[in-house]
Amino acid sequence: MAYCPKCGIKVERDNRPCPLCNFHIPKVQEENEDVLRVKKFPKTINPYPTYTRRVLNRIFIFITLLVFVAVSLLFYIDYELNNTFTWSRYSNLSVLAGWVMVYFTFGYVRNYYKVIIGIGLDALILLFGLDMLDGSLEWFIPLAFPIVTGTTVIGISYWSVIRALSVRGFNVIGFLFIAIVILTMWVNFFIQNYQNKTDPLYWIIVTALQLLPVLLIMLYVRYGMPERIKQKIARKFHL
Amino acid sequence: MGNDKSWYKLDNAGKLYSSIISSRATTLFRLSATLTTQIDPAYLQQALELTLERFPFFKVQLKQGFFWYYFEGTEQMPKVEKEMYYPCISLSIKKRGSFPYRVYYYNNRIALELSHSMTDGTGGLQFLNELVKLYLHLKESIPIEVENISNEQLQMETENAFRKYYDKKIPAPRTRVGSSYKLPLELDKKGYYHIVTGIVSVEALKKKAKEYNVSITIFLTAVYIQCLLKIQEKTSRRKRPIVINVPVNMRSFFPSDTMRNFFVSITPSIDARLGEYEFEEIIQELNIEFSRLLTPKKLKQYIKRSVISEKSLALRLMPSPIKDIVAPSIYSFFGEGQYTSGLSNLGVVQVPSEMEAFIERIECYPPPSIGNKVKVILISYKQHMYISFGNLSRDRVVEREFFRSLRRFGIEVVIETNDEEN
Repeated sequence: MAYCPKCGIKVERDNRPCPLCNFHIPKVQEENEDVLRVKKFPKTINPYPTYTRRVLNRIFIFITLLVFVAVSLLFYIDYELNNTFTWSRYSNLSVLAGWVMVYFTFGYVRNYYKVIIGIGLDALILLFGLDMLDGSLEWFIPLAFPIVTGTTVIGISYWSVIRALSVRGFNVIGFLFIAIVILTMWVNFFIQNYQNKTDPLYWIIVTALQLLPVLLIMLYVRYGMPERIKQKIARKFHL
Repeated sequence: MGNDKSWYKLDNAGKLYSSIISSRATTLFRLSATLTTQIDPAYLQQALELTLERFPFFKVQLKQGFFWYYFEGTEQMPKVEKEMYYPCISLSIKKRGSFPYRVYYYNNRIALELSHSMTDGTGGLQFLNELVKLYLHLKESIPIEVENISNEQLQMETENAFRKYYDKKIPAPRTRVGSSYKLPLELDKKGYYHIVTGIVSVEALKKKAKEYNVSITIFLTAVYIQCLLKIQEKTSRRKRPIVINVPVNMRSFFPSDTMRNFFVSITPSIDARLGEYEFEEIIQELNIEFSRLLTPKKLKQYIKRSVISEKSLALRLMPSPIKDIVAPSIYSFFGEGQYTSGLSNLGVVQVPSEMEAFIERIECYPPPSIGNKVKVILISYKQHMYISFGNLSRDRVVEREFFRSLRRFGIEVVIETNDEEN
């Protein structure tokens, strides 16, 4: 029998990693000894992924049928009442956009970037439609488009940063807050701009004036504060 | 009793286990016998059918009642299957037509996987023993005695022994262990369960345990606790007590023939906050703890605690789907959540000499659990003890530490794992 030199335990098969510490156990047995071995375990299969997929597929098909019925019914009622399609266009567009959203959240698209972009495009189409249906584009270009695009871009950047992190933990939450701050600033900018309350340049100055001191204080605390003051703070504020 | 309208209440441990079943915590544990020759599925199926004639209360399926689950007799017959999944996993016993156990065969091995809602290790071993006996009788024509099973005998085998020894006047024990050290392990994907079995000589263990004047169980518990202390030292800045859940087979204290659950859990612990422990100190503390608790008087208190929860009116009136929702969190909070890990010794398995020649080894695997991702179970057969770790994570840190320290005690260990073929 072969030994793992690191663990000191015996194993039946050599020339493979130790089952406990992954140290490679050298070959010590003759060629034909291995053939005689009766296999103790089968090559196992894991039924769970297929099972979960099946359940999700069933749910998705059910939702799809439900959406189909709802859309047809709403069109029918609208047409019966008004002899043309009026309000049903709005509700059906929303229902269909919801269905696309479900499609993206059910794991049919594996790549998270594609999911984020897909959901963003879905939202854009929905908002474009809602704005378009009453005849003219009013708020889509100045509001909906930049906000949805910004959210998508921030979402993608957030996901890239999280993926690149070597230590996750609290960093995930920290970056989430940063993303939310950037997003709210972005949204705020376009709403303010739409209401014509401020001109963009003035807005940028105000925001920068608010954020810069915070940034400088944090940099100072991290890099510039003398050890003496750090000690004093630790003394005064220890918990 | 075999008619389709017969039904059985679950015992109080079974009631809890049936409510916490999930795709990972299946409550299934495995008992297996490896024979000297290839298993013949046709004979095994026949043997299983005969075994179910002997134990008709195993020919049941788990059904959901309004308040509690129960076992209902069935006309269906479980089929033996060729092993193809990871052990103790991938069986939803609540599904219609599914049995609370399954019988696998693979090469030379017969494996019986039982849900803990049905029985404990002792009951399972009895069932496996009968199954293997009948299989060997059919295949190798070993002689068996034809026993006539009376209704009284069956009654005794299905009795709720907890209730039999329950004494209303005895106070429940007041031991709250508080928060214990948790192993920092990451769960593997669903459907995976990793087993590491260490095969050691019973003689060597006995000799070593004798040096410390304790039983093998106490010796190995001490080794295990020492390993966990070491791991805690490495992984966590904050020290917490190491608490091990050790089930005690109550049949050795209170006579009963029951083949349902009849065990209570004692929780020996070593508080790492008190300083560093020498191995001798751990042994000494465990020895005191075990001898203090393992008396019929003290164990009766534990019986009281097991039964009392089941008797509370609020719990009984709660519809069973709601029980399913709350039970897992209650269990992880008051049960598993309090322990660092579990160690269970099924003891020495002895079979009649005519069977012994055909049975190479007997093994058991612990049920997977999320609260205690690593659990260990011991069983001895002939001159070997099989120490099996069940692990829901890929990390082998506990197994490595444990078997390395056994080696340091000078005990030879042979390691086998179920991941080898994958």
